[in-house]
Amino acid sequence: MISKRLYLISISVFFLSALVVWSLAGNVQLLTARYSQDSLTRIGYMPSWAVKASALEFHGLAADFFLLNSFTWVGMKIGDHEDLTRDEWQELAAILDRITDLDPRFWDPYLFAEMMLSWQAGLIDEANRLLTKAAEANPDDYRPLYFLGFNEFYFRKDAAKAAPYLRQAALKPGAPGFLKGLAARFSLYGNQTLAGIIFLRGLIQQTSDEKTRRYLEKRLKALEIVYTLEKAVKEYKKRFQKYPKNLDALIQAGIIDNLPEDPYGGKFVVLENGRVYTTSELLEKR
Amino acid sequence: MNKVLAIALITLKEGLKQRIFYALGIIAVVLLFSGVMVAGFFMRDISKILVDIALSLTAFGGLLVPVFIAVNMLAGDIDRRTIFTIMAHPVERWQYVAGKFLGLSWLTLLVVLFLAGAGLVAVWAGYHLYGPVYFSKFNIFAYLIAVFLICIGLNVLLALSLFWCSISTSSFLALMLTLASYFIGHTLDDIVAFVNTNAPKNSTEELIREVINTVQYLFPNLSAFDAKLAAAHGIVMPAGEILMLTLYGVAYLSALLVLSALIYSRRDIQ
Repeated sequence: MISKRLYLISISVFFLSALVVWSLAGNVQLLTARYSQDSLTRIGYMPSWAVKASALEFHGLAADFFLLNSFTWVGMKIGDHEDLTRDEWQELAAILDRITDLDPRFWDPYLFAEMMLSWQAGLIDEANRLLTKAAEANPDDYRPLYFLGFNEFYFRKDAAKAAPYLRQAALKPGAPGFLKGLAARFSLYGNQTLAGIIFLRGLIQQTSDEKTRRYLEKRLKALEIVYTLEKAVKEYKKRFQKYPKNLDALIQAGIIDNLPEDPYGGKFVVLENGRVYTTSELLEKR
Repeated sequence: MNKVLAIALITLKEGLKQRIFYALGIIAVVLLFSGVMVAGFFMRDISKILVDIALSLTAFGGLLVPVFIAVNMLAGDIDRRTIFTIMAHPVERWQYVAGKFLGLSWLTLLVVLFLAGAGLVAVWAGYHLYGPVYFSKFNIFAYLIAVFLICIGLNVLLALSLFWCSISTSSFLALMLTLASYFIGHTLDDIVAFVNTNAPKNSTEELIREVINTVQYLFPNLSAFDAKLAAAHGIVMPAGEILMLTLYGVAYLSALLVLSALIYSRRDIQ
């Protein structure tokens, strides 16, 4: 039988400990979040063989886990309207490289690389390197070649380099019909915005995750506005044989009713060559 | 043969008495709920994620038998002297080894089938929750082949734990040796690839390379039985390769069982 005094002491110690645990839990979580980001980025610096050996027989699961951590890391930063630094983007590229060493056929890290490294960070070389790896690991998949072609056309503005990728992609099983002749059509448009819209619509179709979908839809909306404005600028040029000095001129000419808002919080401006540009550069505002 | 089967049956019952199916039930529920939910965080490869989780938990749950239950039971038989109750009957030592292996092998099979079945339920739930478009790559044959190869790999590990129990005097040592064999078996491939791609810079590195190249023939290449990634991507392994791996596994475990039986028969159990 425990004495009443011992019983009271035990209960007090229990509640005191529980209180300490409860009050520290939040801080502990913050601490682990900081160190888990450190350990995640460290994966990128480890040699490929060491990452594979450490994962034992759970290569697939380890790849899933690291990718989920990468989503969380990047998602938290973007959610807090805080862009990653150049070094952090490079680290993300290295992590995605290790993830695809663990499971080279895993499509999501390549898709993530295209969404983030190409569109958000402007690291086209890194994204293309990963996509080339994807094309080698999945020789029957049209998507890596399509993305490579798109990157050459849209980001590098090199239609000649994009064409062979797009032609190869069109020959792959299951390639959508629109890929055939897309290279030619891309060159015909002579404008990257429509290509970007077509590409983003394809990306959204491939995404099941709501958060990522919203992120892409926001970008698509911004590009659609740019496209509408560019069409309006063309109409202005047709009517007045010159480009408008600013977008207000389009309203005065009665071509558009009002100036649309940039979902990223920037301001749309018309350049001397008639292209429409936004001061947000389609990046999340800090 | 009847004596072997009788020991096998007793071993199976003894294994089931450890209430591992309670633990496995928890693992299965975790698999069903968290796996299906976590898969939704990914963009496209939902079926791959679910198969990864299902097969990894199957392999992990299966590991409980050769690593913990087998070592605990075999070394415990000697530690706790329960082996004498069996040896008191007219049973040969090799029959004891074969019976123990068979019983534990059945237990492994039950565990693997239970978890792989729960994994299939998770895949089925994911299919209905997220839609068939994300499951176009799922292939039931690839999944079953991976489960079959997990069983072969676990049986090889089981034979290894039996072997370590036959030569060691404590259950802790046998457990450590079994764990070490598991780690070596799964990392050897990557380490061999690494040492052979870099030219040795000095005599020490040359020696390490020679040792690793020799060790790879002594320890089983357990990573060869890992078809989880192929299954996750719906790739069906050719029949010839499955046959070769089965032959390799069966040959390796037979050699170990013979060796263990020989050591047990010469061992002075007091």
